[in-house]
Amino acid sequence: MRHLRGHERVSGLEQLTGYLFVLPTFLILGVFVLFAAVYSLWISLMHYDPFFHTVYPVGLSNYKYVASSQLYWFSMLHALEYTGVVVTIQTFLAFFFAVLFNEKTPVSRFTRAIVFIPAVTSSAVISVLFIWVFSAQGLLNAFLVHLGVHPENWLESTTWAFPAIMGLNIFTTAPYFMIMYLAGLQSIPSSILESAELDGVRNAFQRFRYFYFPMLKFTVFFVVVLGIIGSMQLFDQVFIMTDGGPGNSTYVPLIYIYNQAFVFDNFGAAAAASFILFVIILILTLAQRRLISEVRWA
Amino acid sequence: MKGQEIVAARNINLEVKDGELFVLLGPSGCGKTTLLRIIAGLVEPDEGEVLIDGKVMNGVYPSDRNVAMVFQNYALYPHMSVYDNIALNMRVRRIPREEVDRRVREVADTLRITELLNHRPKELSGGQAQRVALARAMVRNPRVYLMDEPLSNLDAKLRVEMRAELKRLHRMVDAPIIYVTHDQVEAMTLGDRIAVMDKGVIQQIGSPIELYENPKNTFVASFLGTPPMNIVSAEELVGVDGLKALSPPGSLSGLSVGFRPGDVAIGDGPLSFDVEVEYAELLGDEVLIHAKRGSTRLVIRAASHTYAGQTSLRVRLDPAKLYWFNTEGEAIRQG
Repeated sequence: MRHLRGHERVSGLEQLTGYLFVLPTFLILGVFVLFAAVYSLWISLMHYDPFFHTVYPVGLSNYKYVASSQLYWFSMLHALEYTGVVVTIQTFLAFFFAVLFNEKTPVSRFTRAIVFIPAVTSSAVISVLFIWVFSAQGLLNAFLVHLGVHPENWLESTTWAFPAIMGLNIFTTAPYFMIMYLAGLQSIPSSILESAELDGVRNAFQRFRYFYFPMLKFTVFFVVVLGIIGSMQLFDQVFIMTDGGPGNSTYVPLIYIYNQAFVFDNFGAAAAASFILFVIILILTLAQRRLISEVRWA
Repeated sequence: MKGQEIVAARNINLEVKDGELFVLLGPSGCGKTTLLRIIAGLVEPDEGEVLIDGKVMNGVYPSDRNVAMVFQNYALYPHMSVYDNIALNMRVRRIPREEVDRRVREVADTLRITELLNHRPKELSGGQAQRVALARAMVRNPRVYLMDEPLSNLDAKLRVEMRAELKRLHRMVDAPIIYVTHDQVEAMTLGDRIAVMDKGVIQQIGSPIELYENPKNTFVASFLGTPPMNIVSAEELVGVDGLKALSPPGSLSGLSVGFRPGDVAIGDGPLSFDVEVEYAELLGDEVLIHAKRGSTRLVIRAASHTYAGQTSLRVRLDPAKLYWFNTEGEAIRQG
């Protein structure tokens, strides 16, 4: 076999093969991500009416419009509230599930699969199902009545609709992130845990403090970042279950963007709102990367 | 859903004395590691008792048994510095910080790893990682050291060095060391006593020289010594002049004759027979001749100058160095 050094030139044919292999992925990413992103940035600087093909530049006025929209900032506040609650709970809950289901017993395998079902079910299907769960005669009330809790019409209450959606999403995303933690946990060699056992690390708390947490710091970071990005992009569940209501109690940025584009035909403002959201997510992600400087152990 | 139960070790009865380096020797899968893990408390035996200092340890939590274990892959904690690796067991016991520091530095000094204390395990070489693993065991001042193939991940040169290091360490500690290995050279050079295990059963216990000179069965005979002892069925040697006179009373059928490669010489005489040479390995001043007698392969160790590349040889056995084994492979003691 030929020895390849770092700077050695690869033959033209080999280069071509390499490019051909990545081409399909690049095409898909290019068309649906890169092009879409750049195009929407361009649209955000235009007055854009797709139905009458009237397009002309308007400078930053779309941004001014969005920035002065009380509803947009209100939706952003909701997104932050949602992120704070959901990311915190799901990050801990997923970790808890992972530690709980890390055993290699048939029972744990079975329960792990059941817990995982919500994570692989389409969000639209789950949302439709949960409209019933949260309804006045729904499953949730049927349970709560036995505990003496007064039944609520969850999705039609300005107080409870948003927490209900949060609850639904924790229910579906925690098992998804559980898989990431499980992968991390199972990559810890068993001899290390046995050695720890001989060293006197004997209860769950010590195992967590000295091993699971420090060894899974990177996974935690990853789960938090993905959780935040996912939370900022909350859409399907709200759109299907409450459409931002009752009142504006579940209004989130993507509902705002959707409504601007497809209800008010204001594509320029929708694009500007998306771009602002993109910048906020970018800043949040970079900030976290800074905060946790050294996270990998191996 | 329950899988087939496998008995990894059965009817094991052994006693390890203070200050002794006791080797559990056997091929992989013979149950030696399981036995070690039972002593450590990582596995509870289905039956039987483990005693340390006369106290029953069954049901006692691993860390309360005051045993230290060195794992084959070292099992260093990858996310902690060398210092923290060594200090962890004292930290969880809430030993005062100054005391922890003193003991970590003391043991690091003994094992010459002081300059590595701030490193992470991934920055260490195999030999350094090995020393850290030993330091982590030593710092606890354990009642028993358990070592599971501690040298098998090292290259040949380093292994010889670490063997010497282990001997030095052994002289410094009073506690017994129970040492698991599949490498008979390691067992012979390190062990005060060796227990040879096969298929979960202890075949023989004794000092290295006892096992080498008086193997109890063909397994022990062929496991100790490089190259291993030749074991030839007596039927292959029918007609060899003088053999019957040396054999145990009774028929030769079913018996086997054992002799070490160095106890065969090239040449004619009493107890001699012909072999076909398959190939020879020249090792410098000696040569290992791999030969065949009938369907049995044997190895002959001879001085290089006595072998000139012949494809068939006449060799003779040393009458004082013959071992006899019965149909079950057990040694027949004579005289």
